[in-house]
Amino acid sequence: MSWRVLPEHLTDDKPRLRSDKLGYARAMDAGYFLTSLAQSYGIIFVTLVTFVVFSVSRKAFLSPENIYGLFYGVSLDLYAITGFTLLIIMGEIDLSVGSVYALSGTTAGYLATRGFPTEFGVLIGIVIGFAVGAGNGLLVVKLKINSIILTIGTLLTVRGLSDVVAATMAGNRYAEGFRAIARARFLSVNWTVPAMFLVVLVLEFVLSRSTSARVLYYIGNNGKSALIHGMRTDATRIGAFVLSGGLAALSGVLVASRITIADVDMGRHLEFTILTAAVIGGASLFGGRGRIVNSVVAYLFLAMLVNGLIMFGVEPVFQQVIVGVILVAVVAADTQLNKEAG
Amino acid sequence: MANPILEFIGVSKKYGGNYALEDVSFEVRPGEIHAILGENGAGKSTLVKIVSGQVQPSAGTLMFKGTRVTVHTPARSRQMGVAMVQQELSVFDHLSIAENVFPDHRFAGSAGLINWNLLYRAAQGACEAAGFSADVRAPASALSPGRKQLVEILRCVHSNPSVLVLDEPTSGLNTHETAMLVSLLLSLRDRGVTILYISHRIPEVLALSNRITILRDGRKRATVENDGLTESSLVQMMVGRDLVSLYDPTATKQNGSGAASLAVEGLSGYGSVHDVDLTLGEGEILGVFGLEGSGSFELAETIVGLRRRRSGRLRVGTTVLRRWQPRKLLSLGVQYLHNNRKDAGLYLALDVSENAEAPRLRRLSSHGLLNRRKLSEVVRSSIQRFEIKARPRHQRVVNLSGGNQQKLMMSLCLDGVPKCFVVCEPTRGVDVGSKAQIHGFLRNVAAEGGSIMMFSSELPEIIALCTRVLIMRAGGVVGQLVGNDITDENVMARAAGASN
Repeated sequence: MSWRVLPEHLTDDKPRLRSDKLGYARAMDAGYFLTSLAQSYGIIFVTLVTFVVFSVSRKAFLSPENIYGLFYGVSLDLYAITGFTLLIIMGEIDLSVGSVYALSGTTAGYLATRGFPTEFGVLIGIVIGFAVGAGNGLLVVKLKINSIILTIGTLLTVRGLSDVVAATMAGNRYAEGFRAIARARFLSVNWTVPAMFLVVLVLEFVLSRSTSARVLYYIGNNGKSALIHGMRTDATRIGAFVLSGGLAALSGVLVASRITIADVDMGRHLEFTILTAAVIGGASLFGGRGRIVNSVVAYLFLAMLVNGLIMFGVEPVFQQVIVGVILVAVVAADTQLNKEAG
Repeated sequence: MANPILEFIGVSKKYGGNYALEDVSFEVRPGEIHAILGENGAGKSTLVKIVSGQVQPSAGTLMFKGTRVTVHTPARSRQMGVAMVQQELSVFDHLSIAENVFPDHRFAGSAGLINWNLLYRAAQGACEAAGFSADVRAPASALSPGRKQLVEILRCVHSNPSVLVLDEPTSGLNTHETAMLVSLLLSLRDRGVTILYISHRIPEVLALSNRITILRDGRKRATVENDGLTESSLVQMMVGRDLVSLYDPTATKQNGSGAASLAVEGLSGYGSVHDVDLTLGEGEILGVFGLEGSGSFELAETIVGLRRRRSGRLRVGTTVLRRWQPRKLLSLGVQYLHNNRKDAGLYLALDVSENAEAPRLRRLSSHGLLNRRKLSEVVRSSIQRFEIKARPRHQRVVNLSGGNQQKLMMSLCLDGVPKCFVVCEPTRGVDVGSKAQIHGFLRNVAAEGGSIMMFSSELPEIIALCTRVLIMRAGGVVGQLVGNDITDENVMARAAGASN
């Protein structure tokens, strides 16, 4: 009765790789172990190496102002990255983040500059983000539209609106009160930097332990299974789109507050940079895999790379070339590793 | 005796430290149908992959027509004249049926242009010879999964192979289509084609094959002439034990009590389900049978709330529902087992634990956070209870055998005894051992007062387990059979619309 016997070694429950994140499926063989490891920690390692290389070769890179500037920049975009990664984990995508970021930020600044209270401007900016997110979510879920196509549509629409608002501002400075938001200090640094560490820590905990967050991974792996198993798949999907819009808006408001002057190019191509970061960070475009902390670190890596290359005299126009090449290389490597691991 | 066309000499294949195949030797004679029989994990698929060039043996020799061959790639195997029907469908959905049957450029004219008339006529002839009628100009996506499988088999047949290899060809076919396939294969054999046939379904193997090789745990147990063999003798060789006959007629059937645990009233969906009424009694195992295209699985999905409804009500116990989702039904004790585990019901890329947690997330958490300890206890006990061979935290479900996947999927539904269990194809693509176990689980549910609605395309399974059978045709329930009236002939007659 061979099938009745359950040999001891088959029920051994000791994880060899102590990572309990959903989506990092563990396996016994070395190839799979390495893939898992690469997906979990690879980006952190690469970022550290890049940091060391630039630090050793360019003195200006290691200056406190430069390093702080990098972290400060990421701490503002953090919220957009977070929302985007949540959707990727669920197997959906929101390409309108850059446009929402621009429209919300510019509108908030515009309203504040036209004499409305700063809080009102910020509120309207964020509400716009939630509204666009809700529109995306409802259309994707209720009409079953592919989210790539749909959000390219919203990307264009919202960018158009944002251009109108930015044109109205015509290169004027935002109001003093509005510009103070991103500049507020906490323990002699901009508050957004400590906030970033706190937010990432909390999200890491929530995503690994909270049942409602794990639903995202299950939906990303197989939405129909999740539905059969009693998860609220539609509501979760719509909710994640709403959140993505709102968080992109929050980042947009912070960045607008930082840049002082209304900028038509604000957030342009941001969606591709974040997408690149998420993929470098180990997220799968097919869903079911991804980590916020990895996306954020990967985003920092991209910022650092661009920053360091400028110091090497690489023209800014080449930045896009470099980011593009990295994206292609990482996707190729990831596909290859996964294939070997079976 | 003719020289063997294909000969395995001491073939082994090692994955990591484990032998998938160990020292297997046998020969396939030209013009015979040679069946390979074995439980899941016995090494059948590995053997097939060696012939088709998808994997290389770790040791041993493969002889083809008397010479030693090394099959490095699938292309090499095709060159030798080996055609392979894969377990997974590989039909081009957007191309016509004709182009699927003849994907090569056989009907190209001098300028390299396709002669469509010739192509269509040839394809029409091929389909008719196989016993099914279809508009060969229509895209393959219009076909049912069973018909797609037949189209795929036709494609292989028409590449004029000297050896045709079929890996579980009937797992997606209903009874009628299986019969079509069987007669097609017999006529091919009469034309001199050698056929290597891998299947779990013992009756088919008995009906078809000249000789049978039985594998168990990667080793060859026997190669026998198909002469005077019985189902139970084959089962015994396969599993190394005496199983109670697969479909034991003496096993007690559960008679439902009068009270209805679930009732469907006037249920209509969009397209495939029309005005269905049915009642399921407590402790009853109700069978629902329909041929491909009858809408039976669509009915199951509509009942559990996976498909949109046009109208209808559902009564669970005393609760009457007009709108419902799987989530709502779960809270009322209605569980659902999907008919195709590759489509839904599992998370193939995740490990066994993560799968086992999914339906229990809410129950295994406190304050919205997962309770790790409770969780691993539940997972472990469930894996033991369902005798699933797997390492919960190390093995991705996609790497488990079909039987273990199916048992895992069922274990996700059966924490306690569900009030009502809607089960579709409970033993699709599983080995005989697992099949008997799964039937045991279902009988237990009924014995403990749960009611079961079983949708299956395997008639013997329905006959063995059910006391009442509903027959579906064209989206509606067209008949009901009870007790001793449930026979092959009666059910098929109604399902195919021969009589009423």
